[in-house]
Amino acid sequence: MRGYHGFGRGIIMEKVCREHGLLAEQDAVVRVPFLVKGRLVMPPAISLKEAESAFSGAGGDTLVVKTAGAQILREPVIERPAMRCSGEYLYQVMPGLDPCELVETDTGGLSGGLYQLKTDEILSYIDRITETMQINARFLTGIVDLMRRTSQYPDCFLDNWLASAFSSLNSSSARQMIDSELAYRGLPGSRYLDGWVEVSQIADTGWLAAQAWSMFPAGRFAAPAKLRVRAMPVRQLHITAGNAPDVAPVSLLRAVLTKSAAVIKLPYGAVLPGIMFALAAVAAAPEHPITRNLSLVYWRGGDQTIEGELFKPGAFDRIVVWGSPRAVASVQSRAPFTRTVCLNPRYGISLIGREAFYGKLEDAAARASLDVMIYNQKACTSSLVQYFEGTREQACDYARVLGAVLKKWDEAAPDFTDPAASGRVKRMRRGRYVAADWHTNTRQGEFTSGVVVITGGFDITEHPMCRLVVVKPVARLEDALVDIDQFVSTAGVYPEERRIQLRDRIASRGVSAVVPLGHCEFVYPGIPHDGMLVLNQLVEWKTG
Amino acid sequence: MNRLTETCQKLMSASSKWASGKQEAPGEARDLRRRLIELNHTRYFENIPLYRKIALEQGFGRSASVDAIRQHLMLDAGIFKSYEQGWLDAGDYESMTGWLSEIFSRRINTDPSGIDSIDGWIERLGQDDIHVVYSSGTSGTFSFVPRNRQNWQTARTANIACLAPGILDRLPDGFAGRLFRSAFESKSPREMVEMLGKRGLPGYDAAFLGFRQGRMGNQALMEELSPLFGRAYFLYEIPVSGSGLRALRRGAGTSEERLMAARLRREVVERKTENYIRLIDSIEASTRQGRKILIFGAPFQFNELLEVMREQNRFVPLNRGSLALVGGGWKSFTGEAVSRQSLVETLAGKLGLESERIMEGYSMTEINLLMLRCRHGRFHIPPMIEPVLVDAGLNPIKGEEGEGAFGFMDPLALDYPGFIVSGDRVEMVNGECECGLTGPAVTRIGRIPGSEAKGCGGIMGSVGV
Repeated sequence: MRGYHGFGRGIIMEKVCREHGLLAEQDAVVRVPFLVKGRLVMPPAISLKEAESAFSGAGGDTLVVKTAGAQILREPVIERPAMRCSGEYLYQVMPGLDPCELVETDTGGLSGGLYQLKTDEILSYIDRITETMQINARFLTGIVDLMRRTSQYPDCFLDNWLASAFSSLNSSSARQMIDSELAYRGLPGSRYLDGWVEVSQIADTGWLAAQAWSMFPAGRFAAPAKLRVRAMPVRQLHITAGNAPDVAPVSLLRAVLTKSAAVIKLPYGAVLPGIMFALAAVAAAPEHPITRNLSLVYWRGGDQTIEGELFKPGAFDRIVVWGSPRAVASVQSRAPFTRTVCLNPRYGISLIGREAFYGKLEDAAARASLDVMIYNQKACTSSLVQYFEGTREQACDYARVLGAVLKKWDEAAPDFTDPAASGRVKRMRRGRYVAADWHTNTRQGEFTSGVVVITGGFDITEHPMCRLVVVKPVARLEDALVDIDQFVSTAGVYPEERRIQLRDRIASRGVSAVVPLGHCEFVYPGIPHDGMLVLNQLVEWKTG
Repeated sequence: MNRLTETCQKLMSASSKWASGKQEAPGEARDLRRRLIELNHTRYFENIPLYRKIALEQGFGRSASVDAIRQHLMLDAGIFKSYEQGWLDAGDYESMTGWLSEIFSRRINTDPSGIDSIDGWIERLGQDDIHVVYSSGTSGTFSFVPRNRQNWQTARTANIACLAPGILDRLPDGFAGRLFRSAFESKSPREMVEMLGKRGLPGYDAAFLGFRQGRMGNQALMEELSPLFGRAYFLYEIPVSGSGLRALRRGAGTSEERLMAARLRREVVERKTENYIRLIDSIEASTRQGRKILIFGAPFQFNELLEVMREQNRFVPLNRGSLALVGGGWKSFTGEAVSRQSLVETLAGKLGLESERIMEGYSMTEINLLMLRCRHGRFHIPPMIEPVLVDAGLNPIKGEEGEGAFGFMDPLALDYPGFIVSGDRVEMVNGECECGLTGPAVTRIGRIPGSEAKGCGGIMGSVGV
C-alpha cells in the first residue's frame, strides 16, 4: 500500500486528486483512496480491461471483487435524464485492506493524546474541515457529478444533499450536539467531554465501610471528599449503510465529536460521500490528532478476513451498525463481546384523521408526500404505510389525490426505480395484493410511483420502498395502533389535535418520533435518534 | 371429449415419449403445450375473476399469445395467499370460500357453516370435489391452491407419464422392474396409473418421513404414493393439521387451535425420537422380511433419521433395490443448510443405498409436476411445462438458459391461474443431457433475496424451533 501523509495547508483537494489520478472517471474507472489513520492510501492503477476481467468469472450479481492489492466495486451507470440503467458499469478501484492496521491498541497514546483534546479544539477542527470544503466547493461539486453517474437518486436530491452538508456542518451545531447529547446533572456535555467534572453529591460510604468502623480505627473509610465523572472517548467501529448519502458522514461526525479513534466502513453505493470528508480532513488538518486516528475504508460486508480481526474482543469498544436486519444480526452474533449500538432498519408511517376529508385532502396529501419522498422511501424515517381514517372508498379518494401529488414529484424529481423494486411492485400487484385498489404513475410503461389501498394485513417486509404508499383505511385512527411496533421509527400525524391526542399512545408502542404530518425529515442538532442520544452511547461514563 | 382435454392427453403422451428418451418431434409437444396455454388463458379470463382483473389491467381480453402471457400475465405465487389473514384468525370460512372462488374456475357454493378449522374447510371443499393443497413459508401465511378432483387425477397421470422412466430406470431387474418397464412400453399413462393402482409396487414398503395424512407439500404426495406400497409407515401416525401448523407459526387464536398446536408439537418435538425409533423398527422388520424400502422425506428429516440411527447404533442395511426420494428444499427456516453430498454419502455408506437409487425431486404446490434430478445433476423440465425465467423486474429472460426467478406456465392448471413466478431463484440450462433427456433443466435452486424460506424442509423443521 502506498501512503500519502497530507497535502499541507493551502493545497487544495483538487490538486492532489489530479496529481494522483483520484476521483475522476477515466474510461469508466474511478480510483478511490482510503484514509487509514490519517494517511491517504492510494489504490493501484487498474485499467477498464483489467477491471472487467476481474469480474469476468463472477456472476451477474457480483458487485465487488478483490484482486491483489485492490478491491473493485462495480455500480450500474444510470442514464440521466431518462433515469434508467445504461447497461454499463462504473468501476471504483480501491486499495486492499489490512485489518490489523485499523485497530488501535495504544490506549496509552490515546489517553495522552486524542482523549485530551478540548471541545473547542474539536469545534475548531470542524470549522477547518468546513472551510476547506467551501474552498473546494467546485471540486466537491465534481464529486457529486461522479456520484450522479450511478446514483439512484434524482439530481436535485444530490445537489440538496451537498448544500445541506455545507450548511449543517459547523461548530455551532456540533457544540449543540455535544452539549445536549452528553449533558448530565444540568451541565453541558462539553464539560464532561473535556475532563473530570466534580459531582456535588455526598456519596454514601457503603455498608462495608460502616461495618469496618467497628473493626478498624475510625475515619479511615470515609467517603471521598470529591467525586468526579467524565465522558471518556472510546474506540469506535462504524458499519454504515448505503441507503442515503448522509449515513457515513453522520457516523463520521459522531466519531469526531466524541474524540474517537474510529474506523468508518463505507457502504457499497455510497463510498464517495465518506471519501469526500476524508479528503477534506487530510487537506484541512493532516497532523491533527483526530485525523491521525481516523480511518474511512471499504470492505465487502461479511468478509471474514477483515471482520474476523475487527470483531475480536478488545479491538474496539463500540460497534455502531446501520443496515439491514441481516447485517445487524450478523454483526451482533460475531462480535458478542463488544458493545453494539444498533441503528436498526425502521420505517415511518402516517396517520391521517378524518378531518382531512373535509376540504383538506390535498393539503394532507401534499404534507404526507414530503414524508414519502425522504430519500424515495429508503430512509428509515420515510413513510411507507399511511393509515387513513375513513371507509375504503374514502381511502381510495385520498389515494387518488396522493397519487396525483406523487406524479408531481415524479415530474419535479424524476427517480430511478430499481428493476428489483419495480419487480416487487409487479409481484404485489399480480400476487398477494391483487385484490387491492391500485393507483400508479408510470413513465414509458414503467412504474414511477403509486398508492395502493389495502384493507387486510400488510407484510412490511414486502414493501419495495420506491415511492409506493400503502394506504390502510381504519374506522378510527386508534385502530392503527395494533399495527405499530418498535420497527416504526417515525409517525407523522394529521391534524395537530389528533397528534397531541395520540402522541403518548403511539410513542409507548416503540415509535421514536411522533411529529406533525410532513415533518418526518426535520432534524436539529442533538435530536434523539432511534430513541437514543447517540453521542451518549459513544462514550464511557467514568467515575473517578 | 372437449378440445382442452384432448390436447391435454396428446401432450401427456408426447411427454411420456420425451421421458423415455424417444422424443421424435419436439416441436409437436411445444405446439400442443402452447395451444393449451392459450386455451387456458381464455378459460381463466372467462372464469377466474382475479385473473380477469389482471388481464384487463394489462390490456388483454379473451385471447393472448404465449409470448404476450410470458411478458405481461405472469402472476406472482402470492396470489394463492391474497386473502386476508384476519379471516382465518376469525374463523371466517365464508369469506375464505368467497376468496377461493376468485382464483378458481367456477363459483364455489360450499356451505361454510359449522367449519372451525382449516382442515374442516378443506374437508368440506373436498365434498364438493374441490381438492385443496397448501404450503407455508416462515411467516405462517398459507398459500391455498384449489383443483377440481378430476384435474388432480389428471395431474397424477401426467406425473406417472413423465416420471415413470426415470424411476423405472432405478428399479433393479427384479419382478417389479421388468413388469413396469414392459408395461411402460405398451400402455398409455392412464393405463399405467390404473395398473399401479391395482398392483402397487411389488416387493416394496415405504417409510414416509411425515404425517399419515395432510395436504401440505410433500405430505400431499405421501398421501398419493402410500397406496402403491405393500406397507406404508409414517413418522407421525397422526394427520397434520393446517390450523395446528398455522397456530404454531402465528400463535393460536382459539382453545381448539391451542390444542391442535400442542398435539403437533408433542408429536414432532417431545415424541420425535420415539417416533423415529418406531419408524426404524418398521424399516428393520420389512428389511428382515426381504422387502425393499422407499424412504421419502425432506433433507433435514433424512438427517434426523440418520442421527437417531447413529445414536441407537441401528443403521439398517437396506435390501438391494431400495430407494430414497428426497424433496422439500435443502435449507430449513432456521437457516441450517443440509449438504447434499454428505447426505448421499451417509445414505450410501450406512444404509447401503446405491447413489443412483437416491432420487431428488423439485416441485411446489402451485405446479402439477414433480421434476426429478437426473444422475448428472439436472432437474429436467418435462414438455408439459413451459418454463419462464424472469429477471428481478419480472421481465422474461430471453432463451431458456441463465439465472433468474423460476416461472412456469403449467397447462395442467385448468382450475386456477397456472402462469406463475415462484420465489425460487434457479439456474437453468437447455439442450441435451448425458442422461439422454433433452430440453430445459434446472441445475441450481435457491430463494430470491427477500423471499421467505418455503418448502417442507422449512415448515416442518421450524415446528420444533
